[in-house]
Amino acid sequence: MYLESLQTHQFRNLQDQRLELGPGLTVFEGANGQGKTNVLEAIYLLCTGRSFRTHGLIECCRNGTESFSLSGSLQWEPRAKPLAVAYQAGKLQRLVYDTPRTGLEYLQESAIFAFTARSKQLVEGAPEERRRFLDRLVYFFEPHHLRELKEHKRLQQQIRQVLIEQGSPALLRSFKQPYLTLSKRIVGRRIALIENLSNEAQQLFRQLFDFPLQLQFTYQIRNGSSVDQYERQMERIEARERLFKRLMMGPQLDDLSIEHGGFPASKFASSGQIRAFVLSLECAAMQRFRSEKNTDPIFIFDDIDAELDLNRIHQFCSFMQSHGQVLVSTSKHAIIPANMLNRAFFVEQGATRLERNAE
Amino acid sequence: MKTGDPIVDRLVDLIAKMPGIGRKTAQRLAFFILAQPEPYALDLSESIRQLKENLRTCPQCFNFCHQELCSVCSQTSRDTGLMCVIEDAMSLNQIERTGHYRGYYHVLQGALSPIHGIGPKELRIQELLARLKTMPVQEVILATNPTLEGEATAMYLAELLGESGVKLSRIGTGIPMGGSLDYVDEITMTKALDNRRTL
Ligand SMILES: [Zn+2]
Repeated sequence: MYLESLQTHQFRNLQDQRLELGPGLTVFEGANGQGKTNVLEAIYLLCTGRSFRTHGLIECCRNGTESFSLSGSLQWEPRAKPLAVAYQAGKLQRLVYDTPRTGLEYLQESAIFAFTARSKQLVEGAPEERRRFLDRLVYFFEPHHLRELKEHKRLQQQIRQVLIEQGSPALLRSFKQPYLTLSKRIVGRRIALIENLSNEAQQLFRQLFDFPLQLQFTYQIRNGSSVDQYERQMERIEARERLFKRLMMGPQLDDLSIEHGGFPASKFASSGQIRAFVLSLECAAMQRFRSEKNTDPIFIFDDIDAELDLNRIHQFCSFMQSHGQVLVSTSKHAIIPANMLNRAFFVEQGATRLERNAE
Repeated sequence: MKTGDPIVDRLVDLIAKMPGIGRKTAQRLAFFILAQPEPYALDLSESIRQLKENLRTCPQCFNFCHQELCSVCSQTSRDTGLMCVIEDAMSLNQIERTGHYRGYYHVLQGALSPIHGIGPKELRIQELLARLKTMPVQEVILATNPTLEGEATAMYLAELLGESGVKLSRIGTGIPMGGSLDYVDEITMTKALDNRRTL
């Protein structure tokens, strides 16, 4: 699949403009602060209804305005469908064929992976970042996942209230039973994803970035050891939960440990290595997406030259150029060899100019 | 978030008590009523008054009714061996519409939701237990909505009634998860009743 066009209106510093896009590798060049990341953000937002930078979409409105809109056409065989998002009065409306969709419905209309400044949080950030990262990846293969996370969250709230009020064991059980079922399913999917992608990610890590050490991802169940033991362990901890009046087991408490050469990556890996970790994992997920869904997801890579040396950038680009639509930004001119590029845009003061079109 | 006008604020306070309505929506509704021609507001207040004057809660099943007993409880020809437990009167109408069910009902007047302050005491559970002691009920059908709260309520009741020796069943597939019985068509409803499962 690929985005054929992007029309922006009052989006950040971007001029109201229509861009023709295509499959293959596309680069957005320009000095910092000119708007390249804004273009990628617009593409991501149009495809998902979410920004990769902010939860407050009001920030995306051009200075002095309180609304913006984005539209475009997504090619997903056998046909192209029009997508649009419009932000007004604090709300984002998502449209497919001019028909409103809910947030979860809209997410299923396309598939886009992004590597941005925030992606490094997978290693450096709080456990919450890792859970979110995992859930986003799981979602690509199990569309029910996000809805179930939402239900799970509601169950957490109900149970927390029962614990605080010291409700009867019977009342607690009536919410705990579905909580257990759902927790187990969510954790099971996350573990399956890690197991599924681990080898592939490892291989890409060596092949693309030439780092020799072993990369190890391990899912950690808080206060538990494995999904098979889940019921028993949850039962065992219940007395303590009642005593401390809070839940002590569940997917919202778990973490993912990432080790490099047997040591925690957050402490012992360089910034460049961390970027390479996350990229390897995302690429592994994209590979799997391709083999399962018979199409490549769109891939966005913000600031490709940060912390990766020229060799690794070239290696990565030559690998990615055969992967559907890949959109990258860089502040360095001509960093990607012209023969790999499909299109190049130059971004200056919010205006995007087509520099090169190989078609 | 007050408008500053005591008359408007009083109405907003009253509307905001309704389920699913926040203060913002309540304010919008209040100003909507204000903007309508006078007969609308009078009609509205009169029909609310009538509702409380002429309708009451059935003392047996907690459905609403005009007479002493509701339209179901006053029928003597129904099957006293079957009891269908539901969240609200709307579900009752939905099941009655199918013409498929011949037993009696018990309206819980809600579902367990601790975050909304609804525990077992807030529902008509004690009344249900009392009825089951006096009636020759053989099967209790738990037909709470297939939402998280509805499922939890069914599970709670299943445990509570588990030792009473009465047969328990839960309405079956056909109803979309996360949905409400209020929006289910007759065919789906009939199917759901047929597919009920023993707990
Ligand atoms: Zn009645």
